[in-house]
Order: sequence, then structure tokens, then C-alpha cells
Amino acid sequence: MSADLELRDVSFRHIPAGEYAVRNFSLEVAAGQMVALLGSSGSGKSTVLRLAAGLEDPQDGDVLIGGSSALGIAPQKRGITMMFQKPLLFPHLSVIDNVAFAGRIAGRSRRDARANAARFLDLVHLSHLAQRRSRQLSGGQEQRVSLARALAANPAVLLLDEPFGALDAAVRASMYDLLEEVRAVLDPTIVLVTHDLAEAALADHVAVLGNGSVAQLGTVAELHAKPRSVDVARLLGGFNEIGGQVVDDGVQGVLHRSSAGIVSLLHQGDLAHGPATLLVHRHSVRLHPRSERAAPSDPHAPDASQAPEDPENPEDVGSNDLCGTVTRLRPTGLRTTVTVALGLDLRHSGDGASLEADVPNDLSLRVGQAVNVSFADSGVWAVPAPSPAADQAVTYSSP
Amino acid sequence: MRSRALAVTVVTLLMIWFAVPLVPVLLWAFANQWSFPSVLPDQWGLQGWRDAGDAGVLGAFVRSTVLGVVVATLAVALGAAAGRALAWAPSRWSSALALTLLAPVALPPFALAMGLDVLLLRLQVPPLVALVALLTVFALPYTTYTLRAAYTALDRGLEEQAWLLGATPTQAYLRVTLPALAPAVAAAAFLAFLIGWSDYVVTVVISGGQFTTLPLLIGSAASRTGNESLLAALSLLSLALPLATLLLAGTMTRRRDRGYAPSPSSPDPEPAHVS
Repeated sequence: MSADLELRDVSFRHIPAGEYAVRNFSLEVAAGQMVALLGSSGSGKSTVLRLAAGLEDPQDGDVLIGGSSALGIAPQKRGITMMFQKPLLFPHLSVIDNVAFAGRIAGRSRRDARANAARFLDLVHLSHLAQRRSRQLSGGQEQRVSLARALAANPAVLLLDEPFGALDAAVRASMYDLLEEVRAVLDPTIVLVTHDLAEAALADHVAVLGNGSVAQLGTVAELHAKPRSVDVARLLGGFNEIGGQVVDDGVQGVLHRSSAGIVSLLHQGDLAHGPATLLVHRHSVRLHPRSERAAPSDPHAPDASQAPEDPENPEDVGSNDLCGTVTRLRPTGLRTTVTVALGLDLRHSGDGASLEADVPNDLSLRVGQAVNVSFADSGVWAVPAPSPAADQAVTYSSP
Repeated sequence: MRSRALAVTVVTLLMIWFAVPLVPVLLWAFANQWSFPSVLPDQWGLQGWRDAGDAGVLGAFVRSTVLGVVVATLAVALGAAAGRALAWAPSRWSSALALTLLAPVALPPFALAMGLDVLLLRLQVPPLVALVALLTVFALPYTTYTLRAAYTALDRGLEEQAWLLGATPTQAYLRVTLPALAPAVAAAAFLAFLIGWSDYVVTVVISGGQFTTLPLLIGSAASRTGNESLLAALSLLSLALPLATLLLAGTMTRRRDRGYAPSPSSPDPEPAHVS
């Protein structure tokens, strides 16, 4: 049994005169859907879960479960359960009795509650550890038991507060598989709090939190394609930021002009002319050793910023080219992250304008090599500048 | 290896330190006659135990036990509440509360008992109630600080987790918090029991000697001469219950720890893939 969860204009601060942890926060999660709350530390995402669970009461707004207000209803009566970052298994109980806890509380006999618990232990593949205590389990096993215990309570809404954050990568991956299995079998409404984009990608939708409210809501693909702000882009990770100005010269369309060069943009309706930050994902950046391609004669001239296009390469159609020099190579396994100082004339690139690109290892580059930098204009996105003076490039890598 | 040998040596010396004074008591308790300079009693017997029976040791034993249990119950209940507040809900009053609770330890018991006796007499509080109340106050620092440490070490999230699994706050406390605190509760109860069980000064002052407990009987025997056998028997008896409780607690703790200990086969490795 799953239910809709809605937080409507919820505001909360821990102390009356303090700062808002959550402000005018609104989110709707349809029954059976999974939404991830993605945010940095202190963005209020865990507070949102505590408000939904009834562990905190909002000063303003409403929490609706199944369409009815849950304000004033005690946590144990909301039909919501929660998995915390720590497994919080009850140390005096065995694994099976931990999972049977909700059943026992609901008045079931020990035998009945254990029989039901065994079903959920089987679901998380830990039937063979039923008689162990929590101290005898590994971190991943503890979280599996915790998940089984939460599911055995038959919640209408399951809240997951970074439950996989403390696990190593391999165990985390197995927990992702398990979560997908659980969703296929039980279809509960889930709200997952995380600061890991890969984890957020498990959800149907991702709500990016900033300053206690939803900064952007969408699928992971939508967020990546059109991050609404620099903050969202930074949270998603992997975006190069190039500060500058958006202008429309009436001939070539909308352009982004910066010390690094001029980049043409696809029409971005709600972006006013003026200070803007260009976002280019480092996976979208392509580097070409200068010897292979013609160099623009003047990066500040609109016509010169366009390198010759390769008509046989569809990715080059409508592309933007800038010039730069390789300043750092960082192998990351199958690919190499290359840092490029932007600008044709290195004497003018001392303003810190640079970007990063992920390129195949077989693209032989060396530090100091001149390169042309290209990216399709569909792969760039301009957002309002975080501050008027931000005319420099900054790169935030994926976690 | 060297540190283990050092530990064994220190423990052995400590045991000797505690045991040596008990040896003469043990010998006297079963001696009808023991004159200086004999190393061992001249005549073995149970005269001391018979004298103890005649002095009303059974009643005193029961009264001391009941007093200890009542004081332990009240002090643990109040100490748990205070410890929880100090650990989980610190406020600007926490320091003041902590200092106030420490006061009975810092102040001389006799002065405190005399002062409170006068106050309680004016308030017409029955002596027995006053005695229990006062001893509870004396036991409170021990229970509060023991349980405060336990609460501090306990993850508050356990209770919240229990609520979110359907438990009411009372159910969460009784089914999760209390069992998790059990070792600390037992330790605190033991300390509080000892306060009630072994008190002399407060009992004498408040009850005026009308409520005869084991320590009062020992004090009375000690004030006279020539009855070392009686004194030794009473002393041994006063040691018996705390020692038995301590041994029982130790056994239960070991059993519990065995239950928590990892089984011979280590925990299963994480599955690489969940099928």
C-alpha cells in the first residue's frame, strides 16, 4: 500500500529566531513514485524528511499523506517509516526480531511477527543471518536488515535519509540493485535523500535543494541538459563555468561573450541579456591539437571564433571553437581529465579562465600544447551569473 | 606480553589489598575464642552467629534490604530522568542541575542530614519517608551520572526509529531504550542500593535509632568490647548481599557479551550482485 506525499509551502527553523532550515518548500510525490532530494550538506534535505515523518513540526505549511493533512499526527500513526544513514538496529534484539519489531508493536504474536519478518529478510537475501545480533553484521548487512525492517512495517511512504552514504562503492551498488528489486515487488512511495548524483539517478525524479527550497525538479537527464542555476550545476557536478555577458547581435543570434572568447547559444527564452555564466559539461568538450585544425585568428572576433566545421562530423555542425593551452593532465582510468587555459594569447589567459574536458586516453596531449576547444552549441547552457563580477571560469568536478 | 603480565600483577595485588582485611573477619566469624598472639582461633564455633540472631539480625537484614531496594528504585527512576535530560536535552540550566545533583556528594552527610532532619520534622514528614527521601537524594548523583553517560553513548535515533516503526514513546522507551540501557541501569541500581544498604549516619539521625538496619546493628556491636565474633558475623553478613549481587551481575554481563560475540564463522561477505 503506497500513498501520495505532499509538502505544501512548508517552513521550519530549529530555533524561533534562527535561520530557516526549510523555507516555503513544496514537493509532491505520487503514490509508488520515487523522488530523490539532492543537496549539499545543510541544504535542508534531512529536515524535509523529518518534517514528513513527524519528527519535527513545521512552523508554516502542511504535510499531506494520501491527501489528508498529517499535522498533529504522531510519527507512529502516519504510516511512514524511515531509514537513517546509520542502520539503528536495536542491539538487544536478533536480526529476525529487529525485522519483526513493527509486527510485535502492532500486536502480532511473536510467531506470526517472525513469520512475516522472515519474508522480508528473504527479500533482502539475509535469511541465513536471522539469529545474529547487529554487532555480528557488516555495514551492508546492517543496512539490508534496516531496509527489511522498514518494509516489514508496511509503510505507505518510505523515507531514506542517505542510507547508503557510509557504505563502500561495491556494497552501495548492491544496495541500489536491491532497492530496484524492492520497488519492483512492493512499489512503495519513496523519498530518498542523497548528495550523490548516481544514487539520485535511481529515482523517477530528482529535486535539487538549495537554501531550504526546491531549486529545480526534473529527471536526471533534464537536470543535466538544463540546470537552472550555477548552484544546481555545481551540485550535479562536471560543469565548467565561464562567466561573461549574453548579447544578441541580431545577426548570429544569442552569443555569450567572455575573455575566453565568443560562444553562440541556442535561443534561451527566459535569459535576459547581461551577466551570465556559461555552463559546459566537461563530457561535451572536445579538444583538437592545434596542428589538426585551423586556429582562429582572434578569439575576440565573432567570426574568428568559429573554427572550420567538419561536414562529415555531425557533432561539429553548429559547434563553437575556442583556443587554449593544456595546463594539466589527470588520468582517471579509461579517460583523462585535461585542464585547458582558455584564450589564444596566453598573456591574456592569466585571469584564470580555464575549463576541463574528459578525453580518451589515446588522444595524445601534453602540457603546454596548444589546442582548439570545441563543443556543440546544443551542449552549452547559460544561466544568470551568481554575481555581476564573475567573469572567470571555474570547474566543479563530479563527486 | 609484558603488559599482560603487568595487568595480572596489578589485579592480583588489588585482590590481596581487598582480601587481606577480610581474612581476620572471616576467621573471627567462626571463632568462639581467639586470643593474642595466636595466629589462628583457639576455639572454632558459631557463637557469633547465635549472638547475631539474638540481636535481631534477621529483621535488620530485611529492613536494610528493603531500604536499599526502595532507594535504588527511586534513585534509578529519578536519575534516569535527570540523566536523559542532561544528555539529550541540554539547556542553559544543565550545568546548574548537574552541580545541584553533585551537592550531596560534596557536602558532609552528617551536616546535610541534620539540616534536613530539622526541616522534615517541621514539615511533619514521617521519619521513614524522610529517611527514604534523604537516602535517595544521596544516591541520586551516582545514578544520574551513571545513566547520563549511558544516555550520551546511546544513539537517540534508536527511539525515533522505534516511533517510525509504530511504537508509542512509552513502548519505544520500554522496548528499545531501557533494554539498551540495561547494563547502566543495573550499575546505577547497584550503587544506589549500596547507599541505602550501608547507610549509618542518615538512618541514625533521621530515625533516631528506631529503624534498626544492619549497619546500625554493626555500629551498636562495634561500640561494645569483647564481642568480636558477633561483629565479624554481622560484617560478613553485610558483605554477603552486595557481593552476591555483584557476582550475579558479572555472570549476567558475561552471558550477554557471549550472546553478542561474533560466531566462529565471520560475517558473510557482501554479495557482489543481488539476483
